[in-house]
Amino acid sequence: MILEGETLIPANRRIVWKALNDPEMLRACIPGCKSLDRQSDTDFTASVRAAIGPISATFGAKITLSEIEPDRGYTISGEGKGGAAGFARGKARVDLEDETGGTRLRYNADVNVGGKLAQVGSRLIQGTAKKLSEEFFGCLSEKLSGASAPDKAAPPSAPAVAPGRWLVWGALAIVVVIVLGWWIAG
Amino acid sequence: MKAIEDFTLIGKTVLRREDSYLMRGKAQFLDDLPEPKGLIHLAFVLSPYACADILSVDASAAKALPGVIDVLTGKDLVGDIKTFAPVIEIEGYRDVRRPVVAVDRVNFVGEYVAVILAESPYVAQDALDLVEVDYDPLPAVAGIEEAEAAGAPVIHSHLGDNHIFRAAFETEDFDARFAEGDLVLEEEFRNGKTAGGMIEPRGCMAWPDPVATNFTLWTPTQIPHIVRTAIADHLDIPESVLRVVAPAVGGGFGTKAHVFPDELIVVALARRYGRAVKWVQDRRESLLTNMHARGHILHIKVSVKQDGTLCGVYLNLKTNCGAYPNHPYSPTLEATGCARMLPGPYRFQTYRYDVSSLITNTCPTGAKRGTGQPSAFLAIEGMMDRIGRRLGIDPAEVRRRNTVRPEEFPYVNVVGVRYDTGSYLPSLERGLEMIGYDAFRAAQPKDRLVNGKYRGIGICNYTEVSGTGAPGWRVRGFAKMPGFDSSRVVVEPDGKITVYVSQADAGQGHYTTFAQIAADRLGVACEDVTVVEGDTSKTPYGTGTFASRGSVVGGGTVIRCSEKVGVKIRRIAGYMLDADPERLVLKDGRVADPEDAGRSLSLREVAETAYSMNNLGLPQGEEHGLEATDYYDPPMVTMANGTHVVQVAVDPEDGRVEIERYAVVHDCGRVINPRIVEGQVHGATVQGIGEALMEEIVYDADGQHLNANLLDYLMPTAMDVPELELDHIETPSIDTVGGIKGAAEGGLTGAVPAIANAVGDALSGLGVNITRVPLRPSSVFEQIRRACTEKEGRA
Amino acid sequence: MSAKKVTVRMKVNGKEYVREVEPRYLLADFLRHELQLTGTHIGCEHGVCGACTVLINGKTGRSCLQFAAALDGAEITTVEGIAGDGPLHPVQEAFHDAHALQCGYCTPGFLMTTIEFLQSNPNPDRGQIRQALTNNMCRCTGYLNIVDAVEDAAKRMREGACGA
Repeated sequence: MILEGETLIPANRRIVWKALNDPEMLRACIPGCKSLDRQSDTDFTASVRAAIGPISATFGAKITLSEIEPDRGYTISGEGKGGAAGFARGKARVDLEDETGGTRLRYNADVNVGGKLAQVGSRLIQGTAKKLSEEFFGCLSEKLSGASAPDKAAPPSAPAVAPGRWLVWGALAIVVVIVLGWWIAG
Repeated sequence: MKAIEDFTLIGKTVLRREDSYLMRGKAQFLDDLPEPKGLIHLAFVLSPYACADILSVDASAAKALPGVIDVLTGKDLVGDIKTFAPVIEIEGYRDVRRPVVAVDRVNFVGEYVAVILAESPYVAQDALDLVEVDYDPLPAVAGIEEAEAAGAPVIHSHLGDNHIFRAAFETEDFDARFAEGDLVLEEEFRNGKTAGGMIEPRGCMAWPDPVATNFTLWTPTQIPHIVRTAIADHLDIPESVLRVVAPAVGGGFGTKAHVFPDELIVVALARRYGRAVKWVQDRRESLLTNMHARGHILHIKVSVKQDGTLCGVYLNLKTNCGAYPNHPYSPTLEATGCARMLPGPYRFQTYRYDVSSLITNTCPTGAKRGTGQPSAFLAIEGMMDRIGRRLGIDPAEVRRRNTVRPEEFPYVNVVGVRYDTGSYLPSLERGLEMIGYDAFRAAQPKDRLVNGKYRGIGICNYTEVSGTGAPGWRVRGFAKMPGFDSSRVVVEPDGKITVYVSQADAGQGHYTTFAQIAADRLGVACEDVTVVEGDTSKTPYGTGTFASRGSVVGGGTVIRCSEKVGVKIRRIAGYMLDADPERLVLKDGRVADPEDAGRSLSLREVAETAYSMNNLGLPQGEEHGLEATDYYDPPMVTMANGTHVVQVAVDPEDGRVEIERYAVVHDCGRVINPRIVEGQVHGATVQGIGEALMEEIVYDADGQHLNANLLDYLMPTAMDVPELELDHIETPSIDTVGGIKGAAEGGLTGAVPAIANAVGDALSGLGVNITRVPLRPSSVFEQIRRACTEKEGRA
Repeated sequence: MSAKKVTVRMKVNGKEYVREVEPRYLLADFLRHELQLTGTHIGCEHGVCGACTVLINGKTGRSCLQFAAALDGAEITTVEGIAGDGPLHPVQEAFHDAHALQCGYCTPGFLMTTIEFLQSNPNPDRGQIRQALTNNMCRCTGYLNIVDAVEDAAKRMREGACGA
């Protein structure tokens, strides 16, 4: 299934970049996110607790970056196992552009799901992924508009990350949202 | 002895005795049974992959959960249960066995990977989330064509490819005779995989005696005796220590006429733990792991003369077996069933078929109401319409010219099946008359467009295999299918009657109809007869209730058995009355001597003599007791028949098919209870409407099941059903006891082709070629759109 | 996971019950396993088939989709409460006479739906009956006899009401 979307993040690149370098902020904005860790330059793991009705489980995802074009975009492959809830495999292309009023982020994801997610969640996937993406971007935008106030511009605990790394985190967050959106739909 | 025409209760509508307790909520379905102390509840970990190696199963967290008794993997059960497989002895069939819980590899989504034993069903569900299985996913094949493609992954390596079954048949000089036709038409038809869809999900409960040597298995099955034999065989226990009971069964439709891995597992675990063990599936599991049905590709070629008569037929049929063969039928049930039933009511004597069944990474397929017949008639009835369109002959007339004529009965069809009696042409004519066929055709414009909708009419003229006996099963390779059914009829000491039948009711009304039969034959009131079935410890051995055999074989044995008891009643009464037993009549609960009007005995008085409860004693040589046992093996098959004529309107705006009129003519030979037969016809027809217009189990290319819920697997509701105009013709069989033929499947068999043909007729002006069911609005809309685009392109 | 039990008071078929159950315990399980009222059946556990339909404070509801704990103080009628062991309710009589049930597994849900429906619409046409019955699935009967039965039940109840 193909999922597409875009969003305008209402902050200039410097502020967005700094904020997105803060794993705490991403953790706060990805619905149900418990952890989000970098294993290497291109490998990440994420863990999300989700509960929908009687289904409740911790989902673990492994995410790999490839086709990295600095400052322009990435391809992200994600694979996650949700135990009894099933699994999801996704691949997303993420592209960034400067735009008046902020930064335009476009994503195009191809995701396959299996197990319970596919069996009972197929009809809900598109809608749930959309809803979760909106939640994520809404949260991010909200935090960034707050952050654009002069004194809050620099997150105090941001780790020292090479320039351009924010994209990794941002894109990663999108894939996690999309991929886990399917689980939660299950 | 009463002549067969002397029926007093057979043929009458008797309201069902089952209804009262069902409507008061007092019936005991599996999950309603009182639960024994110490009951263990099971839940199965299901594979999320269509094909994967199991690298490891970590159940430590699950086992640590309070209330979890144990978690077992396939490896843990290897010593308890042999690998599971049906016994099929036919050329071209290759044995495939499965572990009841996967050991190293999973082959379909939903296959059992581990079993959780817990103190409550809620805890068992909790534990499911805690079992961590590490899989190595492998490429999967879901469809027939993918499975037979060169280079396809081989699912069971010992086979070398994915074929599990191939069979061929050819009449003498096939090629030469086929070449005698003036033209050849060919087409490829397909139907989706569907589910039985009974509202009660499956489940089972095994109950050991205190020393765990004798077991009772409660399971909502249509085949309790076959289940018992299979379990004893696979668990290596004597059949004598296992009792299988079918409680109230919430619909079967063939799905519950299989033996399932979980039935073996609950008994094995009851033996292992010495405690009662219960498992109940939910709807997702039901749609995921119970047998599926259909999923056929039929390539058919017909050779015809200019007058529309068939010179010969060639069928190439491919069926999707799923990952493993079902027990007890294997995929040969649908494959040979479809090919052998395809000749239907038609007279052609030149036929060749090639059938094959392919293993795929999907849920096993098996029996479902109609088995191969809805597919067979989709093909042959679809060709009747195509012949008509090509030759400019009305499709009803094409059928007339090919149908077995009344004077040809008994008729032996091209594959050697005897049609003893039938009303093929009268049924067709009656169906056409009911729908006003000629007037509809006369008024039908060439483009079929009336008031913005395309209107068409479709016919299905079908035969319905029923009451298959042992020879019918043997010829198809079912080496262990008994074929017979049996009964024991007991006149109790108080003169009341108990009838034990080897069948298992799943809503067919046996408790009423078998009582009617026994009461009729023994001259008592229905109320004086109690029917007991669905319990291997109470009834003699038999085959069970599926494939439209209940009334033919169950009814037949009850007739025979009641008459056997009648003979003994007359003997004893003759002795008591000092009259010739032959002339005594059983009527109104009494045994009367018509030549001596004043003299009669109540059944109770006779029974008291038989049971030594008076001072009369028995005639010399007579044994005590008043009962008989009967095993009835019917002929190979008996053929019911019927005709469906359907008028539809197709909305080009949204592709929706509306059924405007629906006529059914049905002939199931001697009718036992007209109201119940009508109910069977209604129910089957509506399931056919489901298969024709909405039902399909969807797998994606990776073998993921995409609609294991009732929001996405669409079954008809009260809004989807037209009013059915129903008529009966009664042409009793001359081969079966009582003249009875089966009634349960024809509705489905008739509906699918008739609706497909009606839609095909409606859209024929557009050049739309209907070859696949279900005809969901999206697919009909797409076909209309494509046809219109092509038309515009040509213009 | 199991949680602290909560007290649930419910009046079911006119009788008061008090039970301690887990907050996640479904109404269907509460009725079937705590109160042994097994006439309410579970067919899908996702609110589609309608087999588990009961009357909750006089209105039909899916007992498989509601938690017992959320219905503390509610008044429930199940199929066992329609006629008890006494004479059949006119709706039940009509189902019997019309052969509107076969396996009977879905029937309790149909009866509850019909009883509520005929209270709000005592003189329905067949189209309205079909629409009301779409909340319930039956796989045996093909619905036609059920539609007949509801039509007949409405008639019986109207006549009964006039006679009374």
